Amino acid sequence: MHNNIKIMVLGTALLLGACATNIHRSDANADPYENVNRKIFAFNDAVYENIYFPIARGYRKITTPTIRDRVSNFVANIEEPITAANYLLQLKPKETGISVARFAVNSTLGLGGLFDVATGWGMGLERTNMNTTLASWCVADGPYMVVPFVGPGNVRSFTGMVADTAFDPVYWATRHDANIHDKATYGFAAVKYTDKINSLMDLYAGFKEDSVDLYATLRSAYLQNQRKLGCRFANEQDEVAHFDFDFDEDMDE
Amino acid sequence: MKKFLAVSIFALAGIFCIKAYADMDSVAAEKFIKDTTAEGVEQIINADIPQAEKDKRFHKLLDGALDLDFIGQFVLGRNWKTATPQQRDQFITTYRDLNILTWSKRFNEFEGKNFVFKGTTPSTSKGQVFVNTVVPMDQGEPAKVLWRVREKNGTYKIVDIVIEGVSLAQASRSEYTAFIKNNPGGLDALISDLKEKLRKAQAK
Repeated sequence: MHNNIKIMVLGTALLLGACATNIHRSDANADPYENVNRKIFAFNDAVYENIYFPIARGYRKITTPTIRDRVSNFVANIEEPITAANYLLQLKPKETGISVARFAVNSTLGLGGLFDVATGWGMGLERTNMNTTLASWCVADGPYMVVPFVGPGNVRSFTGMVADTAFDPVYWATRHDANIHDKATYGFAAVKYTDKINSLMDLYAGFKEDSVDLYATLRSAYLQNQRKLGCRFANEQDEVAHFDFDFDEDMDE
Repeated sequence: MKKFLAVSIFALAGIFCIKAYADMDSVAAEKFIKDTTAEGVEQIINADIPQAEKDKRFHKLLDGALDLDFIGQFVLGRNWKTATPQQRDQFITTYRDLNILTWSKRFNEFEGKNFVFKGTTPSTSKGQVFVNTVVPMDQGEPAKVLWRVREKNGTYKIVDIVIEGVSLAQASRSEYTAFIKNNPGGLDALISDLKEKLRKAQAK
C-alpha cells in the first residue's frame, strides 16, 4: 500500500514537473499566484510571531545551548536514513556511504545520536532530501507557492516533503507497536519542528528588520536556493556564478 | 564544412571566454578577500576594543572593500535608468550608509569563526571573479560563502556576497523592484523607507 502511495507521489511529481515552467525565470514570473501567496504569507507571519516563536522562546528558556545542540544532533541522526536514501536515489555512492556510516557511528558511539562523533572523524553532516533528488532527475520546480502554517515552496519541494515524510524512520520503526506508535511519531514531530523553528527564528527576525519587502526578499532567497540544485541530464553551470552582474540586464521584469 | 564552421565558432567563443577570464588576476582577488576578512576578524571582531571603536573600524574597512556605488546601481535594476540625478544621489548615499551598518552587524556574527579559502571560480562578467570560502559552524554543515570581486584600474572591490547559493545583491534587487512596483510612491517611497531604516539602525 505504502509503495503504491510512493509511486503515486513520484508519478504526480513527474507529471507536474513536466508541465511546470522551466527554472530560468525571474522571481515575479516564477510566482504566478503572487496575490494569494502574499495573503498567505501575511497569515503565516502572524502564526510565526504569535504561535511558533513564543514556543521557541519558551524552549530556549527551559533549555541550555548544550541541551539544544544535543537535541539538534538527535533530530539530525534520526533523519540521517532519509538523507542516505536520497543520496542513493541521486546515484551518489560516496555520499550514501558517508551518511550510512554517520548513522552507524552516531547511533552507537554518539549515544543514540546525541553526540555527532562522525563529524570529528571527518564525516561531516551533509543533508539532502527528496526535493533535491527530484531536481537531480531534472523534475522542474513548478510555480512558487506559500502554504499556510508551512511557508514558501514550490510544487516539487512540497511533493518532496510528502515523500520524505513517507520515509519517516520513527513511523517505520514503531509501526508494529500500537502503544507507542502515535506517541513516538507525534512526539518526534514536535521535537523536530521546535528545533527547526528555534534554528530559523533569529534569521527570520534579521530578514524582517532589514527588508523593505520581506515577501520579495524571502522569495528571492528561496528561488535562488532552488535554482542552484543541479540536474544530472543538463550540463548547466551554476546560475548564481554565471548570471551577468551588470546594469543592463532585465532580470527583474 | 558546416561542422568545421561550428567548431571554428566554438573555438572562437572559447578564446573570447579565456580572454574575459584572463583579464582578472584571481590570485590577487583571493589575497584581497583574505586580507579583508583577516582584518575584519583579527583587528575588529576579536580585538579587545570598545564597540564604538569597532563600529568606526568596520565603517572604514567596509567603505573601502565594498563597491557600494556599483552595487547600488545594480540593485535598483532598470529603475536606475529612469531615476533623476537627485534620486540617484539620495539612493546611493542612503544605501551606502545603511549597508555599512548592516554589514557591520553581519560581520559581528562571525565572532569565533574563520574563513577557509577554497580557490576561485571564473565569472562570465568581465573583470569579475568569485573567491570561494567555507565557514565551519559550531553545529551542522559548514556555510559556503562566495565573494564576487570586481577589478577596476588595479583596485579590487567586493560587489556581491553569495551565502549558501543566495546572492545578497540579487535578493536586494528583487526586494527593491517589488517594493517600487507595489508602492504608489515608487523610488521616492523606497528612499524614504531606507532612510527610516538607517535612522533606526543609527539610533541603536
